[in-house]
Amino acid sequence: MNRRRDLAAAGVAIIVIVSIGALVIAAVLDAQHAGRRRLGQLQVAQIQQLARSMDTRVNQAYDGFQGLVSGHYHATLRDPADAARLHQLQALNPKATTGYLIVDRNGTIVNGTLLRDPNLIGTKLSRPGLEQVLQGKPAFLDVASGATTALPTIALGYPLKTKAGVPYGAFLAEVEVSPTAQFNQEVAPLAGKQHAEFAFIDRAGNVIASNQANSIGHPLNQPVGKSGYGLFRTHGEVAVVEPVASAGWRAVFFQPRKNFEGSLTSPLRSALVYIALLTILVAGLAAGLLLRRLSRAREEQRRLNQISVEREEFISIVSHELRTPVSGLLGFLQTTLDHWDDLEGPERRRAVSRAWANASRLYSLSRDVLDSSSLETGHLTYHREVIDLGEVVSTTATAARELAPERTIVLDGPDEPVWIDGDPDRLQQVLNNLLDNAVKSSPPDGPIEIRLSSEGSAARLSVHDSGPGLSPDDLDRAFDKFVRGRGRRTVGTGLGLFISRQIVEAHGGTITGDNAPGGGAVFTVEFPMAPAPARPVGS
Amino acid sequence: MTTQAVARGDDRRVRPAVTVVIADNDEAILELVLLDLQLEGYNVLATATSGEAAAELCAQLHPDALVVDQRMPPGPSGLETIERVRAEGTAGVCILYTNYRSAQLQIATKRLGATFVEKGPLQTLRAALQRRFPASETPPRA
Repeated sequence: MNRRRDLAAAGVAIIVIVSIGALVIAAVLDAQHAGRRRLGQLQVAQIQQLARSMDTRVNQAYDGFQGLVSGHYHATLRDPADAARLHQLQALNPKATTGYLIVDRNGTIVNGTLLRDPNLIGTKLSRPGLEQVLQGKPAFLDVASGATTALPTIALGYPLKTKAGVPYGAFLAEVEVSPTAQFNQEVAPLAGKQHAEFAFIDRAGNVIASNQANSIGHPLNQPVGKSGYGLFRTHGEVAVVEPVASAGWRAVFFQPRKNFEGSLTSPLRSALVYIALLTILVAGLAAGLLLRRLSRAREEQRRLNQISVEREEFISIVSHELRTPVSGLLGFLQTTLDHWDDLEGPERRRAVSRAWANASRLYSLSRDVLDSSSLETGHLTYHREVIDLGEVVSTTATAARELAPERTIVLDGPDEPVWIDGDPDRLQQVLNNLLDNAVKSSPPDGPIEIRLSSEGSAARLSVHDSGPGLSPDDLDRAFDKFVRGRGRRTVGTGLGLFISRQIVEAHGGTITGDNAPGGGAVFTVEFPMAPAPARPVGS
Repeated sequence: MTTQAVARGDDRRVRPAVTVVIADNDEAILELVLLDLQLEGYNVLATATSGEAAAELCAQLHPDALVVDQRMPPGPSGLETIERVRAEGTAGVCILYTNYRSAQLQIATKRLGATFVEKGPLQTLRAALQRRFPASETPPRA
């Protein structure tokens, strides 16, 4: 349940962080969209400017030809005056590769300069747009083979009119359409270093001028709508189309989208990738940290609950265990008093002896409780000196025998002293605890054996009982607080071995519990030996 | 498990009309109750240190009263022992003699028709037995 709650909290954290990340990404995408729109507007403005500029130049050309042409040509077959005028005009630009033509009202070539074939005079000129000029409107004729050059040409057509304004023919100035043409030289530099195409196309979609040399004179190979102007985005390219109204041309711009928007979108795309990665990373970290903190909090809560349970158990055990010797003490005294006269001497002695044993047990229990409290607060004090551990063991064993005369307690120790640096009272307390446990665990007729030896630099004390031995759980937890061993069969606060271990470790020693090879349990305590005092105790 | 047949040598204090079985895992308390009830004139037939042994003794001896401790690990508790003895009808009066001051335990004891007696002063246990076995029903003390 708690795990599910932790996961839910982590999930919410991930959702919040991912939402924030998504909002940031949305804001960046919005900025990117706005940037792209602005970029498009700028490009449209540039092409519009280009188209307007061209429109102005075309109109200027029309105006210039008006003065040059009006009233000066007869437009009759091989008219010598017309021929002379055309040659004068041609002579103004000796490097020109294209010439001029005069056609009559039927479109028949009647005069011309730089004609690629003199026989063209008298033949009908067939060029798209010529009809419009013959009807009285100046125009640029679409790309077609020229009469004055083999190269593709466009032609500026200007109508010849009578004073009354009636068209009777046309003056045509062919202009070469090629990469080296002067007009193209003006368009070619527009792209600069960009990977883009700037071009002018005629009504039919033929390229008049372009910075892409191979497309000049040919139909434009880009899918640009024949109607409609402005910005177009295809899957891979951006196109801008603007009209040059006076000539019927269109100014066009093409560029692959990645080049057109690259400078804007590349950093933004990188930013988006970084933001997405950062979001995932932060969300993952946040979720991980949250889970860890929640897990720690739960662990702390469990620990506190465990402490609380242990405290309650402690109070329950202690109150019960204290009441038991109190009941015994009161009971034996009461029955002795109530039946003083009925009891015989040995019975009276035994009852009082039982009362004393219960009082001793009460004292031991209260000392265990107080010692446990002192151990927790670090206030357990030791009065250490160099002592003969054999003497402490012997005294304790004698007292135990007196307390339980029906028990067989055997002591096997060396004759020479076993010197250690220790607090005799506390060491006696340890041995008492071990003996008390051994008595509780052993059957009434089972012997208890105490062995003391010195091995190298260590003093070893062991207590063997004749009980059922230690279970795996006992082996694991025997020295923990409140653990009452041997499957909880024994009585007590469960503090004895806990306190014993603390005392032994405070003396720099170790205490272990194990099952003896021949049956029963054996608890072994080892202390570091101390050098014999200069004047041995008791000497 | 420890059971023992009990017989005090001194006939002056034996009142064989009321027979008792005592069970407690604390040997000191067991000895105390045994001594006091014998001195009070009851005929303590046997003692046990586990609930299971106590129930078996009741089945064999059919005492007038069973005095049993509550907590006797690892075997059945005093209450469980009383339940079994009640079901088998092998003891007259059942007394739960315990250090536990639990209202829940008291209620459960009462439901089984047994008497709850808290360990402490011996008068409480004596009074509980005397209520069920008034002095007129017991032979006068010698």
